[in-house]
Amino acid sequence: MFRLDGKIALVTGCGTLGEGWGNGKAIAVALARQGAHVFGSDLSLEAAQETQRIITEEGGTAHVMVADATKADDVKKLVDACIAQYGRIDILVNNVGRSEPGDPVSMSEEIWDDQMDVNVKGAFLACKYVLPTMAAQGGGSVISISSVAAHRYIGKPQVGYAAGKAALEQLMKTTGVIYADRGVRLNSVAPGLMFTPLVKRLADKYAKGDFEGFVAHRHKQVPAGYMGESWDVAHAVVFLASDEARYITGQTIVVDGGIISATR
Amino acid sequence: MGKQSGRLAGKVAIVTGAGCVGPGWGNGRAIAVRFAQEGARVFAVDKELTAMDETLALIAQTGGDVTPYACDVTDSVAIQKLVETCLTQYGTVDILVNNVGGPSRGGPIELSEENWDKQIDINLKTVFLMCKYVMPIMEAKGAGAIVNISSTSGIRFTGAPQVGYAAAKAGVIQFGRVVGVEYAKKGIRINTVLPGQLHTPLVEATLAGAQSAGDSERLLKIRQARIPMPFMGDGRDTANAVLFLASDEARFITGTELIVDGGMSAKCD
Repeated sequence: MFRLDGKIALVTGCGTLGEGWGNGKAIAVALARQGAHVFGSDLSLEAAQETQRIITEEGGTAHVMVADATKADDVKKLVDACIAQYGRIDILVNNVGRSEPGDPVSMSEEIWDDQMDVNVKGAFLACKYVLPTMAAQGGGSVISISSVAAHRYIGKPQVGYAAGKAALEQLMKTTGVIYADRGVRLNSVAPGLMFTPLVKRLADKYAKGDFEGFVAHRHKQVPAGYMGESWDVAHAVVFLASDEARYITGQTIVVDGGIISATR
Repeated sequence: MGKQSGRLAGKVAIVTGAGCVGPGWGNGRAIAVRFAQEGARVFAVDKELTAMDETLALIAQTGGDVTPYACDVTDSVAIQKLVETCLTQYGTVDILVNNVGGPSRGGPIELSEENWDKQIDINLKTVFLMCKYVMPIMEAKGAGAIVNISSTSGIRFTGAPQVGYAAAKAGVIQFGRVVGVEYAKKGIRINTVLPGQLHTPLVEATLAGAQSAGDSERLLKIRQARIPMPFMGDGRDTANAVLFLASDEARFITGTELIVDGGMSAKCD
C-alpha cells in the first residue's frame, strides 16, 4: 500500500460503537499502519480510545478526544489540539455521518436539519478550520466519506442522507478547484453496501430488526454478490491521502462492488 | 520471476501501448514500469518493439520482469496469438491494462468516415478485443482485474474538436461499467482511469502539430490554463491510479472510474 510516513491525519468519527470494524476505526488504523500519526475524534470517548488502543498496540501513535463534529466550537478545539500536538495537518478524513429514514412528508424538519448537520455541515466546519493550516504549509489531502446514496436511490427512503451526501461530494469538488493552487486536494470516497457494525442498527431502523433477512438482502443487492468491508473504504482513503494521488482532486472514488453501475 | 515483494508480487499483467512516442513518461510506459517495480511480471505490448526500448531499459534498472511483444491490438487474430504467447511465457493473466489509443482532429464534418472508423477501432475496439480473449482466462480462475485508459475527453469538451476520440472514450467508460456489473460475481473487476491533460510525450510528438502549429510551449500553456492545480501531471500519475485499481486493495471497486486531472473536469472554465 501507499506509504504515509510522518504525515499527520485528523480523523473525525474514528471510533466504532461496540465490536467490529466501522469505517472510521478501519480508516484510522489503516492510516496508522501506513505510517501516519492519527489524531482522532468521536462522540464517544470509549469508542475513540479503543481505536487508539489498537493503533498503539500495533506500534503506531494516536491521540483522541471527544468532539461533536457538527458544533463549530468543538471542531475548532479539535483542530487547535491537533496543531498544538503536531504543528501541522496533512490529512483530514471527514467520516461523520448517519442515515435517518424518511421522505419529505414523513421526515420532520428537525430530522432534516440534523441530517444536513451530521452529513455535510461537519465536513464544512472541519474544512473551515483545517484548510488555512493546509494552505499555509503548502498542501494537504481532505477525504470525505460519502455514500452511493448520493448517486442513486438505493432501496430505502432516506432523502436527508441522500441530499446531504450529494452536497458533501459537491462541497469537496468545488472546494477542490478553489484550493488546487495551494496544493490542497479534496476528494470523496463513496462506499456502497458495506458489512459494518452499523448494519445491525440499520436493520433495526429499516427492517424491523430482521438482521438476517436484512443482511441477506444487502448481499444480494450487490453485483459482486457480497457487501464490502470497512477495509475496502480505508484502502481507497489511504490511496487518496498518499502522494501518489497528487494529481487527483475534486473526485469521488466509488467503492461499491458495481452497485450503482446497474439498474436492474 | 517477478519480485517477491510489492503490491503486485508475482502477478502477470498485460499492458498494451507500453511503448512511448518520445522520451519521458507516457501512460503506458509509466504503467509498465510501475507494475514491474511492484513485483508484477509484465507482458508489455506495443505495435513496434522499438517503441518499448526505453520502457525495457527502465524496468531493467529496477530488476523487474518484463517480456516485450509486438502486436497490432486492432487485429483479433494477432491478439489471440498475443494471449497464447503470454500464457506460454507466464502461464496465466491476472491483470489487463488497455492503454492503446490516440486522438484524431475534427468534428463530424472535418473527420472523414475512414478516420472515424479508425478512431473507434483504436480507442474502443481494442478494449473489446483484448477483453474478448483475456477474460476467459480470468473467468476460469474466478479472478482478474482490468483497467482501461479513457480520457477526460470522454466526459467533457476539452478544448479541441475530436469527436471520434471523445465518443470512443465515452464508450470505454460505459463498456467498463456494464462488463464490470456482468462479471462482478465471477471475480473479474473492470475499472477505467480518465487522465486529464497530462504532460506526456504525446504533447510534443503529435498534439502540438495538430493544435498549435507545432509550438508545444504554447500548447502546454493553453492546457495548463484549464487546470486548477498549478502543474501538469504526467504518465506516472495515471500509473499510480491504475496500480491502485489493479491491486487487491481495490477488491470491492468495479464498474467505476477514477479521474486524474488536477481538478480540470470539476470546473467549466
